[in-house]
Amino acid sequence: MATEDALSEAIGKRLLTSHQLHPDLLLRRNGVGYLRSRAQSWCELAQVQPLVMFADLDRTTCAPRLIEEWFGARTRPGNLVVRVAVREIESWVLADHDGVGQLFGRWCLSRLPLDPDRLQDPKEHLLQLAKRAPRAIRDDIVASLGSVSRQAVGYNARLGQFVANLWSPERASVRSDSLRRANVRLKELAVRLSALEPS
Amino acid sequence: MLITRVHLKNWRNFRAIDVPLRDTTYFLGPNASGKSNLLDAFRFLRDVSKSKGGGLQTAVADRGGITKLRCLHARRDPEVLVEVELSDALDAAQSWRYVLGFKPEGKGAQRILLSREEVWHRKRCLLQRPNERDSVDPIQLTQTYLEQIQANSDFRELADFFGRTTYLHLVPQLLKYADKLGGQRLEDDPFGQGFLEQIARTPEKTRNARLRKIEAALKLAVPQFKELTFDRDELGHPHLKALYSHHRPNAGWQSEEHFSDGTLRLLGFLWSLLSGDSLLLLEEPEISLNDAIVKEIPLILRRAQQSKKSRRQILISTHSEALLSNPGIDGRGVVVLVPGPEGTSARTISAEETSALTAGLSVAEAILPKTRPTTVEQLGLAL
Repeated sequence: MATEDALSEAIGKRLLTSHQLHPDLLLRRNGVGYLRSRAQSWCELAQVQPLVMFADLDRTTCAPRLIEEWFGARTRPGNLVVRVAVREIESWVLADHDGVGQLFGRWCLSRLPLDPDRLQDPKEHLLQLAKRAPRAIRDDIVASLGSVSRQAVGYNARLGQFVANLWSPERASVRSDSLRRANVRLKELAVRLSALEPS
Repeated sequence: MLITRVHLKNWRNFRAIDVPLRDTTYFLGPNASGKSNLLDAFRFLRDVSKSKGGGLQTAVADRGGITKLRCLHARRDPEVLVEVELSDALDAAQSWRYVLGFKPEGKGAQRILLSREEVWHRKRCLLQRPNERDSVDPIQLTQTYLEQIQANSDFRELADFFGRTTYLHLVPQLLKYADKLGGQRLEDDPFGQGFLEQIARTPEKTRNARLRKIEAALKLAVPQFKELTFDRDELGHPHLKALYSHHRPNAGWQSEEHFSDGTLRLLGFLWSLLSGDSLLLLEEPEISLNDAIVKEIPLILRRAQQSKKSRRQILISTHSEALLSNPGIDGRGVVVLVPGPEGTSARTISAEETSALTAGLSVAEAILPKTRPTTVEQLGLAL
């Protein structure tokens, strides 16, 4: 499994295990540049073993465009599954209303996006909501007033813990179409791989 | 209380630096840029303010005398100066300012003489030396008022603050081979040779509470680690002992000389975080630790600060990419050391770096690359 940051990796792990897939290599070096620069390696690796990649769409117009930009004319093996979160992995987090409600408090239920894939800046949306979360959670996630940083030092740790323990891919798939489609493809992969296993 | 600004003149490899500090401040710079020397300025103030076994003369002598201490780039002006400003809380008004300047006598015994000692409290001057008494009896200039209980009653709070500064740069080998290496130890045991005695001296209840917390952390960080305990052998020597879950049930406990370097470093790091609530100096806390652990250090530091009644200040020297890769690090708490032909200068982050961090980039991405020596790519070709 290849991801661009710690939160994507947490989400990816949670998704894969929900399909009984257990990634061996966790490939990540901070940032999307690594994923993009290794396009050739991903294709070669996926010839030998299944490779699932999670990327953020960010400002690119649509997922096929992003994949084309990254992989160009290379043929992508069937075992290379690239799933793109629209526009950032945080929209998948926000898509589980019940889960986020348990983390931040039920007050936020009315403020969670009905269609998180349409948010222009899901991370900012999440940070704004977290500002009103219980103090311990807020302090871990939101940068203190005046801080020169976009988030607090516990952002990945706190949200990673949330994704592992409370976040439900099933519930989140109902609201995020990009996540729903990712789940469909992962299920296909899981079925295909289990058919290959000796019984 | 915390130090909000430090100004050094002719201090080791700094001819002149003047930088603001936050409650957590990271000092970044290439090798030999003076990260340790900068931390040493705060240890120096601690050593000066000790009424017992400290003081100005000892603090200078312990550093090899003024010729070792003074910046090689110092020109006509021979004065070494350490100045700090302090506040009661972050972003609060200045509460204290302490200025200490000194130089060699220039004749005879070449004693160190104060050229300046000033104490300001809420912008009011409490002390300005040399004063009349010094001119009557110049030998008084060999001692600061900071180190004298009779003289520092108006600013005892300040002397206590400096005196409680904690510095532990645990060198695992010194602890593991303590018996074979012999007993020579530095004042205040900066390298952790007496780490076990330090644990032993801690009241039992406090010690157990800290060790339970450290045990919980080590269980998460060290594979198979199960239990940590404190014990004394037949001779009464203190030991830390650990139990690992992969050993046979009755395989027994391992004592500290069998701990890995990383485990010992992490232990020392966590212990110093948990002990005391005063200024804490951390020298390259990443050493011997796996990157995955190092990445968690910024959060560990913040949590430790929050668990105390008064938020303790932590100054960290580092060049760890993993440590600085956390995008939550506040750029205001970053000081970059830049070596140059005239000694090292220090700066806070630039406007461009500020916007990079605000956009979500980490210090490791935006600032750390600038601290690499420009010629380092050719190092591999040097031999």
